Amino acid sequence: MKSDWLNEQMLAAIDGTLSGTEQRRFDQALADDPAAQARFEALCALTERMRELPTRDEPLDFTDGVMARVSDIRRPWWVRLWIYLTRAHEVRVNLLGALAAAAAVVASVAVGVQLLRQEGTMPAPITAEVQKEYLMRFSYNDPQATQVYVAGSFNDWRKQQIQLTDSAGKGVWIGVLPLKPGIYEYMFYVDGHWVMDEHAQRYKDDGFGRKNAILELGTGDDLSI
Amino acid sequence: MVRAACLLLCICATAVGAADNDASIRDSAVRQYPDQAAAVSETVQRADQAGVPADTLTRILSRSSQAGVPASDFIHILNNLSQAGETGLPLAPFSEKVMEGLAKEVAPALIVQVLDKKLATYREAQRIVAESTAQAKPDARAVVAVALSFERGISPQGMQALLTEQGYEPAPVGHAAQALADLVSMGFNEGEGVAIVRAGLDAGYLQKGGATLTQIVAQAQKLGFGNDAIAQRMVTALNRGTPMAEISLELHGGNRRGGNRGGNDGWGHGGAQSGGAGGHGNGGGRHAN
Repeated sequence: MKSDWLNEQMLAAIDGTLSGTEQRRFDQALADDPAAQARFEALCALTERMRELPTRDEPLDFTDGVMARVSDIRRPWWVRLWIYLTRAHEVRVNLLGALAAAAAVVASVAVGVQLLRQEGTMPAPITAEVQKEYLMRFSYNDPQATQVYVAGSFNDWRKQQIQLTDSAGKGVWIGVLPLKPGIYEYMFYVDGHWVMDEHAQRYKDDGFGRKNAILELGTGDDLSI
Repeated sequence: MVRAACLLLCICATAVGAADNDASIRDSAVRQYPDQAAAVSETVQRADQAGVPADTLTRILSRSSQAGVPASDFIHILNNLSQAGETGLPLAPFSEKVMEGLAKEVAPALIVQVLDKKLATYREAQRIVAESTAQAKPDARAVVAVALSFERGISPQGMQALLTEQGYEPAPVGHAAQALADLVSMGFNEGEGVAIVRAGLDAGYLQKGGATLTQIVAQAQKLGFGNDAIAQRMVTALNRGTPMAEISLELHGGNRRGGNRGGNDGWGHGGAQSGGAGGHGNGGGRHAN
């Protein structure tokens, strides 16, 4: 028991935190125990050597780095990658390295855009002008109809995508659609049947036995007389 | 550098993913038509090389699958699109026609037939636009406009008669083709339509469009003038360089004063032609010979 007490007090004695009474009691106990005295002297020597070692400041990310390494032991690689990518880092770069990285990124983006454009998944940029849109109002008159849609080249002929509404309940079905300039063909799809727009200005045979209405927006002149 | 490398990796992955689209479309097509896997795969690849967009291929495959289009018709449809792409024709009219046919639940064989006809029509339109504009690669919008006029009933001979000169700008060529089809749909014979539109084209009035020209003609018809008289007087006015707005004013003025609809008195400039120049000085005064 006395040996345990001595061992506990050795660090406090080295640090100089023992009170006067405790220090006297410690000195007496140490004098009575040559083995403890030898251990204390060795501990004092070790402490002295450690104090002679040069001191270094820890890096700013010391804690994060240690914790990441501890965590890496258990986490799968994709989790560690995600943590790495989402955590803030202090990055030191030189100018030449930064320029090389920037050049690589620019070249990669250019190659990627070219590939995407070749694949047809990216539209060519509009360089000339911003195309305006027209609000086109479609109307179909049929009090007997229960469901009326308009479909055409503007929506890939999806027959049940653009529904007209009869808000007044009088059989006047109306829908407004924003359309870019161009020439479009369309028909109404009324209760499961394709129906021609009887009020269109132009028509053409669809080749399948019906007539499509033709809608031309913004491709001609806007001069009115 | 590590971050730059990661960014590069992400970009490359995106590009590779896009390039893989076609492979996945081919796979889907082969799964859809396992009996003709090799032919279908080859056809999809050809369409891709001809510039048919991946999303268009996907949509056609999806709709064809839903509609139960046989493999032979599917191949024929895609080959049509490929031919259009390979000859520099706009692809949208063809892909839209396929979508239209499938939406209207038309027999696949009829869709193929219509596409064949459409391809021939567009090739003819391309040839005419190339000749009239003297361009090696004809303007796509002009080609579409001319082809649409063919589809609305204009004959190649009529179009040829309209566009006899070379060196037109593409835009007026397209507008002229549309105006001619409009006039024919309004009851003019092709010869009368060609005469009116040709005069408008040569006078430079179709740069921005042909709507004004056809609106004036429609007004004249509403006022009761006969088609032959309208054609004759429009050609005369246009050859004189009379502005469209003034032709319209003269039309109304002539009608108010003359009232002899369909005759020679109500609309025009020259006394000899109209037989009543005194009563129709509105335009003649400003556009004296």
